[in-house]
Amino acid sequence: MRKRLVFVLATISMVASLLAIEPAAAHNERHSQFPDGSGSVPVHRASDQASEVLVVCKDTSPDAIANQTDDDAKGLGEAMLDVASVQDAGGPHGCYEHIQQAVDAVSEPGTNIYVLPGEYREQPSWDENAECTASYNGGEVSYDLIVSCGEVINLVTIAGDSPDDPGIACGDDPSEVLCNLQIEGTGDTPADTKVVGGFRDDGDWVKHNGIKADRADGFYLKNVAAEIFRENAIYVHETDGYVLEGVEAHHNDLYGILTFTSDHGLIKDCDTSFNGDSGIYPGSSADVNADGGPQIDPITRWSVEITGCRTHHNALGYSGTAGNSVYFHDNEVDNNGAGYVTDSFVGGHPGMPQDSARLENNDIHHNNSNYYEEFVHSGICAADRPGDRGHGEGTVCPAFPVPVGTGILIAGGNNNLIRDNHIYDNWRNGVMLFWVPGAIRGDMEPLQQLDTSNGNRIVDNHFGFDSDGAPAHNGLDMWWDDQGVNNCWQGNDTSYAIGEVTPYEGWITHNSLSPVLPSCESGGSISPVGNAVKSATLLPCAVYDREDNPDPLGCDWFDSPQDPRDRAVTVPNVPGVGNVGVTVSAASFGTPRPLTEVDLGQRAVPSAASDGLPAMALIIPPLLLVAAAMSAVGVRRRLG
Amino acid sequence: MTAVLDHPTTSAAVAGDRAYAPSPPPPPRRRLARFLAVAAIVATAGTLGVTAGSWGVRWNGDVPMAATGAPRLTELADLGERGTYVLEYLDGAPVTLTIPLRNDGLLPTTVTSVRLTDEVRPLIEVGPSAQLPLTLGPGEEIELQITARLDNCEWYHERAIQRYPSALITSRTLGRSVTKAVPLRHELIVHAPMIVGCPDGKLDRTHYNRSDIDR
Repeated sequence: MRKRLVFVLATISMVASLLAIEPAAAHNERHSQFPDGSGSVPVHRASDQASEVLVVCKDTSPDAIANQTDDDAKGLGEAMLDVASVQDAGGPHGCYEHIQQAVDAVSEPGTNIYVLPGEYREQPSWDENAECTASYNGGEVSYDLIVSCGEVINLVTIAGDSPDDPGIACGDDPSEVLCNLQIEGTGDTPADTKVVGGFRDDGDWVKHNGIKADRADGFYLKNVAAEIFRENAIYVHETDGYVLEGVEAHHNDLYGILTFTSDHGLIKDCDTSFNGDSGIYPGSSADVNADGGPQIDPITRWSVEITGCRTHHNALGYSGTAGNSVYFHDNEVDNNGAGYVTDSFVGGHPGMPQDSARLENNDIHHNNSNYYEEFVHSGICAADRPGDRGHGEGTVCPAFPVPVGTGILIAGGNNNLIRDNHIYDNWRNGVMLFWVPGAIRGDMEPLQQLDTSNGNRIVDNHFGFDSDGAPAHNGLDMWWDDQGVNNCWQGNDTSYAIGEVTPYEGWITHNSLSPVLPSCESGGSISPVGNAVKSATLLPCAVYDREDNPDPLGCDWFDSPQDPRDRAVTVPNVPGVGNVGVTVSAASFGTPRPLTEVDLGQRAVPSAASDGLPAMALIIPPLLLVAAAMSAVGVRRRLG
Repeated sequence: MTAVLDHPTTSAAVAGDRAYAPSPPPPPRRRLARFLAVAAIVATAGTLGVTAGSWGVRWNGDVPMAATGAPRLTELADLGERGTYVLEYLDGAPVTLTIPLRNDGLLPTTVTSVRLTDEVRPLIEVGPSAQLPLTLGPGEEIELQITARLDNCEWYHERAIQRYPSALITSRTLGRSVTKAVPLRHELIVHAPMIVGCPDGKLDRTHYNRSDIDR
């Protein structure tokens, strides 16, 4: 009887086991448009060339001027103090006390406003204006609202175009007096004339933006620093013709310098750091070279030239969604999470997909700062009150996911030229290039799904060498998803080749499935379809959200990459295409974690291929018990 | 082991003892065996109960899905390891998603609900389906239509993407309710819009944290 019982039990358990093992089964806050492109880059004006001169200062400005060491700047400040005494604007020393007051006092186009050394908090812009507050719901900001109530989001607003005329150009109406406005700090350095947002008593940000020039054609800002804003320190929007010279922008939660749907820009000699998105963002810049302009030498037309800048210690040094026709040269991009990032990733940006940026002669190095780990995963960025997070003391809360340790990232860009740059000491990848289908940016047309990552040229760059020729490896020189048409590589060199026989001239370390990166002479790549395995490593990272999903499952972008000096790297040592191996580090390719049932919520029962293990876990215990019972009975009988 | 269990002498001796004398307390080994046997019965019964639902709910969703309504659905077979469906976000727009299902199990099962995610305030907010509840026999197929609405963008950063790798199908089999994640042929994703496409969106970015919202 007992024998039969045990047998039945064992049979039931085994059948149950078999049955249970299932078969594997921008930020842009209003609709924006490009200017008509008829403008030009403004030229700096001396005070005697201005139609009008206004002076802004603080009580402390004369003492600050007295302590200046730059004779030219000091002389300018002293001269402006004299102008202020005549101006008699009602503030200290006859100055306007606040920059916005001076802007509001401008009566003619072509005015120069001089801002003497001091810290400008612009308190009148803080005040709650009941009429403005009532007309703003915290969301979309119309241009009309900017004109009437710019202070709802800006500390200083320069709105050039009259809302009464149909166009967006500044100067087509006599009332538009803020065209060609020049604002200039007179300190020895930009930091001497500082526009500060900061935090209110309740710990909230004072303002979204610091200085915003909106439809303000001909705007010129020089020698001023701006910092600690919820969004952007310096913002130029729908403007044709602007210069930002010698400006600094630090410690903002999004961008240091943001330009959007603007043309004829020049950003030079700037310094940006500790911004939660990027230091410099020329988003949706005018698409003036959509026909292939930047591939033509010499370059004659661009939407914005960025040169002489250092952008460092930001989440991203540079970013540009639809950063079209950007001429980015002779800059230093260092110590960011990622260096130069341009993309076609986010919808609502005019000028998509991104195209025709030109990067030349930049130093892009050591972009390995892991702010995700340091400030997001640690919970610092989750503090309820922004004022408690340490913005201003170096806290950076990345708003956008990027692979930490990457020098240049082109996520869905076309016809970009990357030439003669020093790209080194970026521990994950020197350059990343991959496809972003149109649907991701909201373009659902079938023909637009393969319209990115084509025609990019990466030539004559120095991977793993600084500008003095000293070697400092990137983790991998080139990460490419093997997708696109007419992408090409030629004339590059790499620190990995030092003392080695390289497989071919221009060889760099890469992860392509092709042994040889296609050369430009050959016409470049010919693969319109992406590599699914490689794109599989990217998608999990796209769901990053610093509040709700700061460490997405399956994404390794936020893991600090290993210093390449600590890794063994194999250089193919037999010349010839047939023997060219791909030299790759594991860290650069990524080791995505597989999706598991954890992804699907605690209440879901895992299905399909993942069922096997949990089902076995249910079955094994009773099997063991049956086996134990059988064994015990057998032992007893042997003893009896 | 079989030889020991079938030993006739041992069995007879035990039976004879019972006829002429009061049963002595079972020796410790016998108590252990009884305990283990009972435990095995209980555990096996429990296992059968737990797995019963699974027998009947081996869904197969590996067929193309479709969407009707203003939001468009784009299939990108080469994006991601499993391919990707991208659903256009149009705030407030209704969309009907068709998810073909086949009951590959051995038992009939009654589908009682379908969700795409357990996240709070999802960008694809699934509503009740007029087709449910619905009983499917073994091997039966159906094109399950779920109505949804693109919603909740005000809770998301404009760069946010939400992924829906599976449909979460709750069904009842042999009286037991089970929720299973049925992988879609391709992963479904939707991208949050810019603030200009999100009427309730706010610039201050204080509404993005959904972690403390009650479900």
